[in-house]
Amino acid sequence: MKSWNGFLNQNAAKYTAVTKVGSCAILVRAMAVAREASGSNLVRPTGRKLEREGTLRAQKSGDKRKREKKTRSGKPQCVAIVEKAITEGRQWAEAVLQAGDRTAGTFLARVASQ
Amino acid sequence: MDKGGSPSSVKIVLGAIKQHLPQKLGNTILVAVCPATKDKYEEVSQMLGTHLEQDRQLVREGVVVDGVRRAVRLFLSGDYAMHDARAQGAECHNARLNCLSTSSPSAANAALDSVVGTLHDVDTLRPSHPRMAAHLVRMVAAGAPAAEPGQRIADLSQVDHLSIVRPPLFTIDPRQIVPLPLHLLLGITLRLLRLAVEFVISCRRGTDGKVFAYSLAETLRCAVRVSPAPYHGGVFIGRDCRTIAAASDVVCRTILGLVPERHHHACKRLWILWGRLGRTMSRAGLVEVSEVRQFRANARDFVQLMKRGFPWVSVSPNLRVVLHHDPEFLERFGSIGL
Repeated sequence: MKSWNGFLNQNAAKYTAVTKVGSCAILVRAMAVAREASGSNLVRPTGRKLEREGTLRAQKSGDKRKREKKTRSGKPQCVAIVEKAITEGRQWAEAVLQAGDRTAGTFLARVASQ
Repeated sequence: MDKGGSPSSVKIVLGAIKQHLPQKLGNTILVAVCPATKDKYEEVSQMLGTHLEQDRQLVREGVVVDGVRRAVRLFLSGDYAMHDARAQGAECHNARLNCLSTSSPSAANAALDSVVGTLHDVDTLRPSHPRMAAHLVRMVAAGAPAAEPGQRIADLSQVDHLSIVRPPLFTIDPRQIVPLPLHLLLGITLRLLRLAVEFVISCRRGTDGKVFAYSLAETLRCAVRVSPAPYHGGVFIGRDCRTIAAASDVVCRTILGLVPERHHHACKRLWILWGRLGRTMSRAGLVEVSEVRQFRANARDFVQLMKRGFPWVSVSPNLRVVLHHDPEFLERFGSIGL
């Protein structure tokens, strides 16, 4: 169900209309037709098919395509991405801290008043 | 039925359960899309208006498959807030659709609390007062224009209408409301992470809490390799929540030395139990009877440990669903992921 939200977000440009209701109607109509044609029409192709199994996979431990060689755990390639992740992490931490502080504060105040 | 996306819209999706890959996009049918910003009763009612009669007909008459008429059982899936928005109003004391318990004990609702209990009762094996489909049917009749004076919803007392202040749109058995593993995963993972911050704040000072929260975010980024997603409300997406549960020992290590040893052990135990619950919940396949039994025991241990070990934790509707609704649904239908 959640994937339908993402599908509409990704393909919003294809189903534009003057009003939002009109846009929704176009999407439902298109999906009904697509379903009749083939189930595969509903899914956006995400990549090309491998010719044979393992063609594009890392085979040796030193291969740069291996996950640990790519980013984060190894040497980060782009400072801006790392900085953005740190900022977002701090924003998350502040939101969690605020909520946690409120909960703990309320509890401690209640205990103190008893 | 789910609201999301940008701009916000409500999608009504139909799926057949117990099929191969039930959650796959291609295995579901998009029934309707409606622009909406809030889960308001009027909007939901208007959206479903054109489909309700067809739904009733589907359940009443069934479907014909290969020349044989088969019965249809309708399961309702969607955000819990949406379920509650269908029928309840602002002055709701026991607003949950699958259970009549009130949110928390209060002096104002002491009489009601003593009858139906509260969400904080975590010792009972099964909910003592589940909401019944028959009551919803009665409320539909009471909300109809032809209802006699004295029998209308507005004329009923709290004990009679049980927080149903508008006619329900569906009258299916509340036990057939599908628990949403994704929403439970997102909500409870965040709650467990917040619990770690609350430990530190309660055992030390507020400034230590701030330092700890930053270090926790940094640990999650570097060691667990997950980051909050801005497009997801600034919290972790479902896949990342599973990664955090799998690497829970890293999270627990961050509070080592900052809180008493017993809290550290309790935190570890909570994460272990949550990891086990999450694995069963998100699997789209039949679950063995022994695993259902284990799930029920784990769910009870998880909620009881959370409530007793950390007295400031209040039992949220999500925790209540994990404690009672999930095991019952699993027992009846053999799967939560469907």
